[in-house]
Amino acid sequence: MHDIYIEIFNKLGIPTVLAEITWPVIPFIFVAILLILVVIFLVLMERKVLAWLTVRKGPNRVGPFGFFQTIADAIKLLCKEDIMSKDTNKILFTLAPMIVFAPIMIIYGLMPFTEKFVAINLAAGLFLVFALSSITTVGIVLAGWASNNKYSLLGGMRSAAQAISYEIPLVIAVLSIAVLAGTLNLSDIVIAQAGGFSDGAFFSWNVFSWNIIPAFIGFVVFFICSIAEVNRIPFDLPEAESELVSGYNTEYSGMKFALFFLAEYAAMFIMSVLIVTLFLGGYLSPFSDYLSVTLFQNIIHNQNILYIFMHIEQGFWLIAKTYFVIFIIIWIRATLPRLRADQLMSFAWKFLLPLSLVNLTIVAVFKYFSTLMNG
Amino acid sequence: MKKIVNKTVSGIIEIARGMFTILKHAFRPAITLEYPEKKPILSSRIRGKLALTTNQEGNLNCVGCMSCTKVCPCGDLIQIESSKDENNKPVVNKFTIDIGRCIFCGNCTQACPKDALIMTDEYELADYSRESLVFDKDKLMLSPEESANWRDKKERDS
Amino acid sequence: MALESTLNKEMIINVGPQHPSTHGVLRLVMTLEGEIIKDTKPVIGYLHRGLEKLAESRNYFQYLPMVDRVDYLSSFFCSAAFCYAVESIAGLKVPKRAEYIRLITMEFNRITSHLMWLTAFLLDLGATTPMFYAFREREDIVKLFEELTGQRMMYNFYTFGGVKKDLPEGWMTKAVDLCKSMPKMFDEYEAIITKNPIFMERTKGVGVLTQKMAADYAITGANIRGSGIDFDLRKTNPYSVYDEIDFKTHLAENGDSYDRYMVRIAEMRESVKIIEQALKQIPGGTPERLKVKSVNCGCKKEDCEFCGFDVQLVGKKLNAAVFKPPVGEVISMIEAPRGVITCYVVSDGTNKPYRVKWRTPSFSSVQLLPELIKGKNYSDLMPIFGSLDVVLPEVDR
Ligand code: SF4
Ligand code: SF4
Repeated sequence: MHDIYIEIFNKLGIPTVLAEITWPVIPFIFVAILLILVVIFLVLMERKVLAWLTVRKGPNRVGPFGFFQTIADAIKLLCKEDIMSKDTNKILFTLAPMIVFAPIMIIYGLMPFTEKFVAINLAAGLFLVFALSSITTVGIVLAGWASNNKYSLLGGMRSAAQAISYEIPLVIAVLSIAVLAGTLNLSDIVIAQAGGFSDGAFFSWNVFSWNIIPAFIGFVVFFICSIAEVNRIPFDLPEAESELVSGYNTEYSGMKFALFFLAEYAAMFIMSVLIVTLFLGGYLSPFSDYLSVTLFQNIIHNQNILYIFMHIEQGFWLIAKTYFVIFIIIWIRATLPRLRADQLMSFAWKFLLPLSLVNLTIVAVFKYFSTLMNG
Repeated sequence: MKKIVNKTVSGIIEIARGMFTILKHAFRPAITLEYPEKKPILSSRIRGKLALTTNQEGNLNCVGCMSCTKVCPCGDLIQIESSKDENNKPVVNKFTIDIGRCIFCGNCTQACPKDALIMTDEYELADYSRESLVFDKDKLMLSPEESANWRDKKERDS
Repeated sequence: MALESTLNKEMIINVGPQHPSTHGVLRLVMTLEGEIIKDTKPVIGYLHRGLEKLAESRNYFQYLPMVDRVDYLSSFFCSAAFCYAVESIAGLKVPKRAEYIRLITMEFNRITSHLMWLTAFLLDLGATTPMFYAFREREDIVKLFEELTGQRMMYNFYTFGGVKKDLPEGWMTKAVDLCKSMPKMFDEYEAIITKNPIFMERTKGVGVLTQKMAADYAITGANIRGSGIDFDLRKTNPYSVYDEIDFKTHLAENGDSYDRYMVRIAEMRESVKIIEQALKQIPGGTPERLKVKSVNCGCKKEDCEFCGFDVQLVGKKLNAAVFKPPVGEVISMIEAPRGVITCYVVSDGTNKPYRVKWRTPSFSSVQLLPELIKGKNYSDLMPIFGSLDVVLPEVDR
């Protein structure tokens, strides 16, 4: 791909240096488009699912099934006046939404969507994901501070407190995955989940070697923490609308608000992808082989076409699993009320943290014996 | 320790119960009424826009007795001017109702001795100015057929 | 704003009058230290419409539709309070059938009001779904009201000496069906809410209203029944035909937000039972039957089962212009969903009341709020304030 790209530049008579410089940007353009598409779909899905669970119809006016509702909303947000009240700290106020948004975009680049579709394949990818995702908290605190609004300030403070308490069980839960896979590279973590439980028709299904089986407690802890990480009900304290009006983004309007909004949904999607990657076998099919490959290998003998099929199927599995996880998150949102700030802290410190340590122990013992058995 | 385990287990069970109760609703038909296309079915007692009924000849039933103005809670929003013609029969010259100030309480229709003032099922009355909400006689008057219709409806109901 | 000046200081935060969860336009000036509430000052009056003063310039019939607006979530109760007051000044007798219709509508209204409270309360706690379910049921009842009275909120249905119209045909069957399906719906809410660990965490032991405090602040209604004080005007001082109905009052012990929730849910179930009984006992039975029977009978005797006084709608037809109750003053009390609603009417013998005074339960509850939330977390404002079931038009009048 790299060579073709440079060749095109050469043919057009543009200096090669320019091609070399622009090459790394290409994945990010893809990522940006992907991100926006994902968010548009996600917002629609959330509204539809919530409507469905609350015996309503949801958006159905703009386009078929209200498909363009989110786009219409986005256009509306873009056209809105960008209000900034008098005593806000202008620089920080503008910076905050970007700080919230940028890291999430980078995380998209780190995710293995299929075997080859990884924009940045880093050895310490997992580590970087968590480093980046905690930057968003800084942005939220900044937004709360810069708005010069008491509700925003309380929201920002709550967000900081929440992030500190939830990041620890989250990271310990992830540690167990690192122990199981023996690597921090996200693609390798996925590959380590292939192969099944043992040989044989049924047991060799990939499902049996997903990390969720040894690390089930870890999965639960991670799931809860990631909901808290992306500030969703029941952990949406930073923007608890019945208490803090809208929390940290009370003062924001127009494009800046849109960025927060985009970041929130993008984060929700990426957290779900992460859950799938770490615990549910990522892009792997739950069966021992890829369905399309098994189906078509007798008809199509061209290895390249089969390879493309396989990639499409990998993407399909990832998206399917991710949306299942997202559905559960929305379902939880429909059911549960919000926790109180101090209850949230004690839940994290007194319940999730010990639980994640228990999980780590179980996983370590499991790993020890499984290595022992496999020699 | 045992307490925590108990609490956790019962908590999980209760949350699951709540979640499945909510999921059950997903399979029920939506109760949304898509308003401008579909309209609700209203009963004949509905208190909507006020209207003046007419008799077969197309004259107002109103005799200008002013009973309606005496029970209206909103002051002078009903304004009537009437005179007597040569046969000593009352003629209503002016009848305006400021719908913008009306609270649709139905007192006036109840007080009317001749069923001259009734409430129809029209409720989409929004307009751009207050002046356009002051309805005069022509706007309030129903055709004889409509009046008969409404009289039938109200009679069947009571 | 220098950083130093904001450190180690209390923060004054202005909740409302436009805030998502002040149930209207209550303004609370709160002093916070961190997230701990040090002090609260409720500021009321944003919804003041001068309902008491308005009465003095209007005759009794003109004032009647306005009474519904005292508390728009339980209009029937305000109407009833005013009607009972005027009736006892003027010495009007109310026929049994009218009383039963009043009772049925009032109990239905109690359910709608409690459902509205439930949605607001849970919305404050962050649970959005029960709102839609509760509104679905509320809609069914409101439809019945619409069919009966012609409007969904401001019914203007009671009149001095009775009610304005008879039940429409088919109304009773619908009401019976609704009473059958309603408890199932309550079961569903309870499945979602009652035992939910997060809900219990947030409401148990929060906002404890002791019996002494309740008495001091003259709290009434479900709020004190949640604290274990058995005070229900329907039992202790039965107006309407409550003495002919068999029902229980529900009590709880701790007086916290959770108990107030439990009491209200139990009250809704009890209301359904009351309505079922009343629908069975109503003199004359269904309107269809009554019509046929009274036409066939036609004896016009006072004590006839089908055309006597008991099955009439109003005791005496009154003329609005000349209705002048004798000089006197009267106080009437009604057990409304939010507590005891009191109407005090002074008549000077003219066709306009000399003075009308409303004593509304939410007013006391708002006064109680600062005491209940002192020293609590700011997030506790919602479970406490929400559970008191305050409705602002009733506070400001
Ligand atoms: S409906 Fe009520 S407010 Fe409207 S005109 Fe009639 S009496 Fe007046
Ligand atoms: S009460 Fe009826 S008849 Fe009398 S003035 Fe009013 S509309 Fe006319």
